[in-house]
Amino acid sequence: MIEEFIDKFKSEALEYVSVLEANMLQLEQDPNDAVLVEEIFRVMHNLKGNSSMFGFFNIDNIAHSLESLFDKVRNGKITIDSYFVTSILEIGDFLRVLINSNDEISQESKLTKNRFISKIEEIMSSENHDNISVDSKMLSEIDKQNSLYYIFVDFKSLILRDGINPMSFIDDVCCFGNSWVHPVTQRFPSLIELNTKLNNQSWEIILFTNRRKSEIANVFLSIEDMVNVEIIKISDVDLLNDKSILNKLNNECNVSYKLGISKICDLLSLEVPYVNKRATNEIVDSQINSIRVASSKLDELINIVSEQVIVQERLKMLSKNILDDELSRITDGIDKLTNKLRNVAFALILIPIKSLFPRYQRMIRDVAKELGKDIVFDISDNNTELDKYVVECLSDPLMHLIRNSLDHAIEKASERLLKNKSEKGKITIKSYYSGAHVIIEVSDDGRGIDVNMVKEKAIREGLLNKDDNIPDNQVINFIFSPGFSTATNVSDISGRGVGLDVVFKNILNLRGTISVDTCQDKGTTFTIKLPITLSIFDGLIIKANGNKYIVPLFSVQKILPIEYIDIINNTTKFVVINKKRIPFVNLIEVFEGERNDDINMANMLIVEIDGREFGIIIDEVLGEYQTVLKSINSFVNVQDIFLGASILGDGKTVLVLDINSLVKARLGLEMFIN
Amino acid sequence: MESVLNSFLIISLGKDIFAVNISNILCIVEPSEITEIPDSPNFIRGITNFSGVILPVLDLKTKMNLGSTEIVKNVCIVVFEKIGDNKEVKVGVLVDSVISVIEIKEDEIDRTPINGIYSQYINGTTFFDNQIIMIVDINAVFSKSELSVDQLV
Repeated sequence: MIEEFIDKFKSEALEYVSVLEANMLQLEQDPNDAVLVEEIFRVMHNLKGNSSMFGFFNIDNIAHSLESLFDKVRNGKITIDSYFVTSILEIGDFLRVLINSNDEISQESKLTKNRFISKIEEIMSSENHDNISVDSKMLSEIDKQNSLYYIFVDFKSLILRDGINPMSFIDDVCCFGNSWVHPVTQRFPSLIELNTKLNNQSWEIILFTNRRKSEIANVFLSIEDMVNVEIIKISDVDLLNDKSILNKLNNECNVSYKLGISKICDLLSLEVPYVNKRATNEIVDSQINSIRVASSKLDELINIVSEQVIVQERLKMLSKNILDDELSRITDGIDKLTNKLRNVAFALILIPIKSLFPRYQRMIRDVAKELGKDIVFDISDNNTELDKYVVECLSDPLMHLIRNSLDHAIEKASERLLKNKSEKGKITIKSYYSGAHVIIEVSDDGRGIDVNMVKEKAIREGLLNKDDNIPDNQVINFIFSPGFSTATNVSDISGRGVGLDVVFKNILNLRGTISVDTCQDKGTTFTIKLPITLSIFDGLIIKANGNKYIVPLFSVQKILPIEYIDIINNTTKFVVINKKRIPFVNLIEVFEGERNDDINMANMLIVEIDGREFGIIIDEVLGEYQTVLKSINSFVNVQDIFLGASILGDGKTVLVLDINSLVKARLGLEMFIN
Repeated sequence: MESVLNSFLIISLGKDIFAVNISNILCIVEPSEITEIPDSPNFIRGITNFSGVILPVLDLKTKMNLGSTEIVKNVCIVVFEKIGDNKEVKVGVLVDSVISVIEIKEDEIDRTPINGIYSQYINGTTFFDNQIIMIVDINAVFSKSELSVDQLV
């Protein structure tokens, strides 16, 4: 049981460290961003509390030091510089080690820990009193300034269940200064219905204090998911000293349950402050409305939903055959619900691609420093999301591409200046949706790939004949061949000649493609194209040679009826449609069966691959089908032209065709070169 | 010293009777419709729906050069799991019939290699009903090199 909690603690703790890291990197760019500092303070506070609860005292120690450190930072007593960022990042790394080793510490790392703690103390002591920057001076002045706040505290009804006494928090707030408290009894039921195990009480407080808003909010930090707190500054003057105003307030309390901000401001003859409701709500949302779920449970949910989709398709088939009004109405209802359920469930397993990016930012920073290069990392992500499995699989290939750019592509500052380029190198990562695909581009503005060098190397390795006349944009693809590297010197970062072929394979395993576009001295762009979901899609059931197959609907553009005899007698392997020559694959031939020659009718699917149209000859189209793609296990080496299999409504299995591979395998690559 | 006791499933392939260690067997099911996979080796009968999982089906008779199994009464699919390195993989095997389950002591098994068209899939012989039966080495049947297919280009 305790292990379960420790695991949960560890995954949370690692997340806290990631926040620390990500925010530090951003702070390096913009040291005055108070929101980031506040967040670090908050996560360190949580880490401190949680780790001491589990007896992880080394983590507790460090988190405590960091908390005090960031307390000083947010009070403007310490300014953030590069040394500061580097130190904190190192400490973050050390925290990760501690978390992963369950806080166990060797003699050696004990020294490291002490070194870090003294480093934090050193930074803290370096707070320069005489050299306070303008911003921090202003901050500390605000610090001393007294304000009148309206605070509304709404405890959730279940708070008493956890043995928390809500009153103690109200007391804590009142300790900050002169206060007036009003219990809101709006939600109190009649005495008979009263359930003493539930909290029905919320509170209104008017507080005059020199504390800042965030300090008041921190009182409720430990129960943040059990309470909604609104803190609004209404004045700078202590109006609570005025007896007549207090009388007014008390009288009003006898009349109404909840006074509310506008009433109070009215009574105090103040203007109602403008509250950005939306913004505060959003913060509350992101803090409270997310829960942690084991990914195995999500996988299970997806499996169940997939099963449901299959059963639903069966029901639909049955209802079509029975033709009963009542039944078809119910079927329609369930159909709609199943579709919704499917969409919601799949949205759950989708995670944003940008969740990968912070780790690259860190690496770029470190490696660039090591290589003495100055590099900007630019992210444009457009909220693209992918299956969490796919995102995990992308981590390494992207890392590799970025490392390549860092090490080989981007030149030293001096070299860049000679080429009339900006001193700072730039690596851009960009992701966006395109049709049923997600495109990820990794580009740099470095020296580009020398196509001639690739050509020479390819000829030397026997991959290419000297006389072959292949255009440059084809030659460049040789960099994805195993063991192919044009790097002249090997470094510890990349360039051992393994790499791009692994990247290529990884992307291929995700049913994606990768291409490269390069220009001498201008830079290189790698483009990765991935299908959005691997598991459920709309499919078209087709018949070829008497057998059923499924084709993903998004790859089909048009369906045209044709005469089969024309196809058999066609020796050019092209059909002309709308004055365009369209190469075709005869699926009936591919699956070498006997076709009933009496039937002359056939159909052609027009599909688009890499911007070109191709035809696929089939017997007929049977209908649409919500396809749950299932893999065929590795014991049978199924050809690449199948994505996998699916189960039809009647319980029969059917193979799912991968149009892309089919066309490429059947028509050969020369089609794509011409 | 007591000899290790193992349970074996007795199956028939045509006229011949074989034993298979049950330790990797998940269950035995009646064959439902099998979808052929184009251009796959002849001993792969295709895929079938095994309670929502795509189950590849192998024809043991074809694999052992005894002809091919006709789907008639008594024909069963024996579902194997946890074969080789991959714990998740399930594979169905077509057999003409399942006869019984018996226990055989290790010292009752004769490990002398045999000769014959399917000798590479046999790792011992024993007695059942006073006749010699052969013990199928299911790992040899499923071994990766045995199942690989020439890729279609």
